[in-house]
Amino acid sequence: MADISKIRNFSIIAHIDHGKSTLADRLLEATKTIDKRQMREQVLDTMDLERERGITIKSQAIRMLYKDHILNLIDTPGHVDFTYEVSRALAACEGAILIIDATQGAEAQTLANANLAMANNLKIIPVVNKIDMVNAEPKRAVEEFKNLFGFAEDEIILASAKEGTGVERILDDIISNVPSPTGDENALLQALIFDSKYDPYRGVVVYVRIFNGKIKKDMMIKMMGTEAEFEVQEVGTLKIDYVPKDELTAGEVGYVIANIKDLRQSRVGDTITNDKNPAKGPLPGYKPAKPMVFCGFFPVSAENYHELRDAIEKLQLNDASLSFEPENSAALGLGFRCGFLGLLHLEIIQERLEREYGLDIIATAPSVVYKVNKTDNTSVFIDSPTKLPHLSEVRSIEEPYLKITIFVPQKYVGGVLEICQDKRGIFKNMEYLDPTRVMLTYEMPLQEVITEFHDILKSATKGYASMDYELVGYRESDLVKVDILLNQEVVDALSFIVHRENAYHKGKALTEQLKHVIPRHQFEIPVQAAIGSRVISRETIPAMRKNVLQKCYGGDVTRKRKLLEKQKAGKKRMKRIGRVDVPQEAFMAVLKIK
Amino acid sequence: MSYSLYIHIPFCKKKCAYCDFPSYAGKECLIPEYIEALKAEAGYYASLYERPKVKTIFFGGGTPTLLTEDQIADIFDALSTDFDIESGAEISVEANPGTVTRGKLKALKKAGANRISLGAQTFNNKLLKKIGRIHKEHEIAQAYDQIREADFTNVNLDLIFALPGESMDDWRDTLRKAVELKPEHISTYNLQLEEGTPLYAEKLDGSLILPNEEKELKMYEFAILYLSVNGFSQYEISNYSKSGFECKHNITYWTMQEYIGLGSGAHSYMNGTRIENTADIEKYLSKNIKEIKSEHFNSKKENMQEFIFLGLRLNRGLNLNDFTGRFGIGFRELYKKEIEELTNDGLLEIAGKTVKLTEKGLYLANEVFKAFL
Repeated sequence: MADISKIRNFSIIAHIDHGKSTLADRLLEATKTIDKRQMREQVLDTMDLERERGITIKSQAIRMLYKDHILNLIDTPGHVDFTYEVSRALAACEGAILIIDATQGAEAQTLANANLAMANNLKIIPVVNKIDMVNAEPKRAVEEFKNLFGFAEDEIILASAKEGTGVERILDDIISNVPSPTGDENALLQALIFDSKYDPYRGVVVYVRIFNGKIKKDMMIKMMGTEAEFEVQEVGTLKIDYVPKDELTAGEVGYVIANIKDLRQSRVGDTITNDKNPAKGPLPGYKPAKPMVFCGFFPVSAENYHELRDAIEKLQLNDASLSFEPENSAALGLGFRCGFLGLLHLEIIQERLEREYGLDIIATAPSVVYKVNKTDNTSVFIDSPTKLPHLSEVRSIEEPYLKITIFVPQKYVGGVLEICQDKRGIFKNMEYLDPTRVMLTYEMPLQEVITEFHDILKSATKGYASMDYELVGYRESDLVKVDILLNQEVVDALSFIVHRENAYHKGKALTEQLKHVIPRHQFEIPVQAAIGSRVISRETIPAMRKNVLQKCYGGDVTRKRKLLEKQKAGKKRMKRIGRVDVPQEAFMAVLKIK
Repeated sequence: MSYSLYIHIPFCKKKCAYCDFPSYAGKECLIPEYIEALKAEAGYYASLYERPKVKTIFFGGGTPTLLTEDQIADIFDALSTDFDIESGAEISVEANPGTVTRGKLKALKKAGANRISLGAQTFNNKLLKKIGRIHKEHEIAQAYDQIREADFTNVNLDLIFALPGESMDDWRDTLRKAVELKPEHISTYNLQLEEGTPLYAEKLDGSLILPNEEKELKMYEFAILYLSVNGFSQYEISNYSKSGFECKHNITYWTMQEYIGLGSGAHSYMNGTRIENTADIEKYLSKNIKEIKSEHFNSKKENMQEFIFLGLRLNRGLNLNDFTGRFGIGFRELYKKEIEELTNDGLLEIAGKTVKLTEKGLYLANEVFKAFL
């Protein structure tokens, strides 16, 4: 049994690339939790994709021993799509290390994460990282800690995770400043699920923080949110590998394995209790995952439909926030309508399907969930433009709005204001963080944010802007559906919903884009955009007139064959709609239009 | 059985800006040693097939006319020892207007060559310079006259169109000048930008102005029309000749008959196997047959596919009986769906016992070939 007064549960929170994973590595080394030799860089990020994108997608927890104390480091996902997951991981802690990169200063997610930590009443340990860099400005970062969050100068630790500077002081401050957990091991069991993952050999592994009571092998447990019941097979703590224990008691962090087959039965944020003798109520803050962004995934060739289904199901085993249902497109055939927490989440899933499962898929343009108020005074939520009821039945359409916070150097503010206006943003506030940096607050339709907003913002500010957002609710907008016709046929998968004022411009931009990405065929192909039956723009892809290899003699046969095969393979990766071969880019082209 | 024989001479005074063939400038010092290696390889085939019978020979490059008179005689001597060259065999030699001399032509003629393929490429000095040719326009006619003086009665001119900056007028001018020389055969090639060549790099740079697809097509159409009006009928996608002067050697490729290739970078097709010699001259000089050759045994399917996409290059098309005779299955039943689609699109036609490209199909030949792959 662990002495609760010697436990410290904490997270590291930071804006992306501010050095969270490197600091975690140093803590693991300094506490001799893992051998320096077996140390892979950034051990907490285990998926390839995470390492490439430099972000942690799924959080994990690890137990360290230091100066007679148990330090549980709970890792958090580092992207705005996963705000809810971050908030649940923080709810499992009493403290958080908040990092500011000395070369960058505070960014949008620094503020967002700090707000989440404060909302969870965490003790924050402020750390200025990367002080070894030549372009570091630790003074500025210290000032920001003081001004934004009200820290005193002597609380702030100057560190270089890369070189190990300040690591010991961080560990000491965790012990002396982060409160030990409170909780009663003799009370009724309340354990917070802050993460869970699917292990092909052991089924679902649930990561928990025990708030009250204890959990042990053979006990019957119940998930208070989903009401699913299980018998505990194993509990333990984490040290890269599983370390089985007899029990986990109040204040402890560890894992539970209970023959859970489906991740959806162990939702992040849910409370585990004793089935026989349940707690009065769950821990606060549980919300079922709610997808914000939807898109269709279709196999390039119909015969891969079942493979795609298997692959999505497998990914869902490890990602309860991914939802899907079959979708039937007149143009693309059978596929799946998938729901995601955000655009990054979507991109990650798409990339994993292609990379890990080797599938050629077509992803249709992302859509938000619209609320359609009908003339019969009922309302429906639609996650795809094709589901929009007939115009005669539609009284009004509402779309989700975000509150978006942008941190930007003062000299780029003008450009950002323009972009936000183009994206139908409603100005809310502007605040100087220091004489050179500004925090802007806007309200903006989510649909505008998922169409390249982040890229545009980054390029307009030379990469200096950072942003964060949260959903604020639904607002009525004057929206219309634009259809695209290829060779006179409507391609349902290319339809999009847009503000009426932008319909003409976007329709024209998309037809131009499609003309560019769809290769020439042996016949002329008209590309049209239409609202209802009214055509608003038209382009024509001229017929291909010539494709012939001129020189072909004895030495060329194999080479020419390869060339022809390559051309043919390119064509095979396209989707045939009517008589037109449409490349995958075409379906994402709607995103590229400005 | 009588074979065709290809001999590769991989040396050039200077590499042209569009060329990605296995040929090298500045390695001429290796020529004597290379000839020994060629002779060794000829000897290998001589013993493998017991002095095989040969019906056509083609010296390509590179620049065969870079060889000296003695070297020419030396190679021909070795060939007539190792191969049973049929009397009346077509023996072609590629010549560069910048390297031919009366002496070399005389030596070639004496050794038995009877067809010269002159790499004119274009009759425009600016364009010649742009594509890195070593000769000027007036040297083409000079070389041509010398070829005729040496009593060659079968001459081809190689031409390239759609060159960077080439206008329709430039191309018409080139065709007119080529026809005026009265060769027996003309080949025209649409410039192809191959990876790794200087022109390709310029294209990536964006500094190259090239005719667009529409203009390329017009140039090609004009060549077919102009040459036919002047008595050259097109018999293959890129080849035109006076009646009876079709290149026999090249027809063996398009009808998928067997051939032996000697030299670095040369290819052979024997016993259903495609054999490729290393393009690395130094490696080729080792004379180690196993080391220099890589082989690919064609599957029946591959043979059928190649038979189709090579055969359809010929204007006369593909003989359906030949196909059945060769593969034991009918072309029509094997490719029912493809034939239907291609004929509906007006790219392919079947008349009696032949299948061939339509005029539209000629311009879109790759689209047709792909359907059978």
